[in-house]
Amino acid sequence: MVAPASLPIKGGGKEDRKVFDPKLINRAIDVVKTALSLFTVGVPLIRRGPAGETHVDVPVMYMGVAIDRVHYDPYLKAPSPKGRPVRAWNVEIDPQEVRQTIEVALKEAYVIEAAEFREPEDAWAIPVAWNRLIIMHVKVSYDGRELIPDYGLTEEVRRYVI
Amino acid sequence: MVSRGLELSGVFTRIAPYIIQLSDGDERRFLFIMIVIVSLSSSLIMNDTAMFVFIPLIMTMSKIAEIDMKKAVSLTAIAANVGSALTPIGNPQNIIMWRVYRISVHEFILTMFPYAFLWVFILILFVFIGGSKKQFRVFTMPDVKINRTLMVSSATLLFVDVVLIQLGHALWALPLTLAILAIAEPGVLLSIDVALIFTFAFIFIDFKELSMLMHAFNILPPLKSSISVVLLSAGLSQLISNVPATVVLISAGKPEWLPLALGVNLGGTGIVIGSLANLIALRISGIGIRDFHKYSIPYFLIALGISILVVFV
Repeated sequence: MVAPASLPIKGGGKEDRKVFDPKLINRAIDVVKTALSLFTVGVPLIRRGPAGETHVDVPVMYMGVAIDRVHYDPYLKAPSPKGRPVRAWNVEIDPQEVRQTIEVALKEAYVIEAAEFREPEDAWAIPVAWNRLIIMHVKVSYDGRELIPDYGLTEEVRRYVI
Repeated sequence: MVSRGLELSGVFTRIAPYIIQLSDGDERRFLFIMIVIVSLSSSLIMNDTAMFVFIPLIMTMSKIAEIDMKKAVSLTAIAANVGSALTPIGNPQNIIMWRVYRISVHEFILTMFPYAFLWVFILILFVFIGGSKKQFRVFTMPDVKINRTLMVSSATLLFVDVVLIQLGHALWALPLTLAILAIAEPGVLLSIDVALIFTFAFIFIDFKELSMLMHAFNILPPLKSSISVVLLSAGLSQLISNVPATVVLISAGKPEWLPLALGVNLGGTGIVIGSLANLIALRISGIGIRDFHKYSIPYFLIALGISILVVFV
């Protein structure tokens, strides 16, 4: 019996990128380190769910474009790690307090010197941590020179502000 | 859509490092450059979009260089309002007047240029009068990736759409824009704020009705002299915002377009509700209404007084 042919790998086709250059990662990490001090906190996105729960995300902005969202834990009044959005019941949310909390966290945040590659976006994702929790990823172009914004989130912020 | 396409292409984020370099660590020079750039860009990408692009830069500057954010945000919001007065596509009220009065693009720009220039000049005086000279450390900023296809297609569409509308083929502009953006970047089409379009539609319906009622009960004073139109439109903008004020006054008797344009564009400054751009600037930056009024109300009164003198002369 002949084994079925394996599915083609999604993406690919960039012949010039077969040779991996570790310098690109260093450059990407350096870009994020430079940008981290320039990041600002956007308007907190406070959503009420159908079951009465509250969910708070805080966009991290760089010159008018959103880079990533930080989950906010209304019970702890602190950032929640990536992948753990918090649904909270019976809590009062003060947007100003949320903003100030994330501003402080962003000042204390640091870049983890490692990267994963995201082929669909052709970008490096560099983790940023606070208090030993990864709270956001910053995407940098393959050549390690340019930040790649989250345009979907940028739009969400625009709509929320208006 | 086109303005959003230009914004989402990331092209404006490339301007920021140049502003920092050109300012050479001088806060006043930074504000001067910001006012000029915001005035010019808002005349192309609309005043509220300019706020989304440039207010975050001021926030970054205030974080790194400790510049006076309240002053910078207030003056930038005013710059977006008065700069957008220059072109028929700079803000919603100009688009309404452009369509209703059938003014040509070049006539609109040529007529508005002296006033927009005057208003920006007065604003620049606010930068240099008062306050001490502050220096900050010049820093480097990483670039944001630009979507070149979206940038070129949006810039081309901006030009083509204006020509089509000017030639009386406005109905072709929408399908053309939809088709090209669907090819270049479908995400832009999904990002259209439908709620905002409905909001503007309801503003038209509501305020047209209101205008008819005010007309029926003789609440609005006669719109005979240019000065009365300037004063009434500027004053009404302070109460109900400048886009509704434009709709009300056009429905009430279609006064001359220039005094109306002067009044509603200048009326965007002053009290915060004068223009949506002010509200966006305050919401993004988090500065208080009182901080904004400290600059916007004196500016409004001075600019209005000088503009009336110019109209009289």
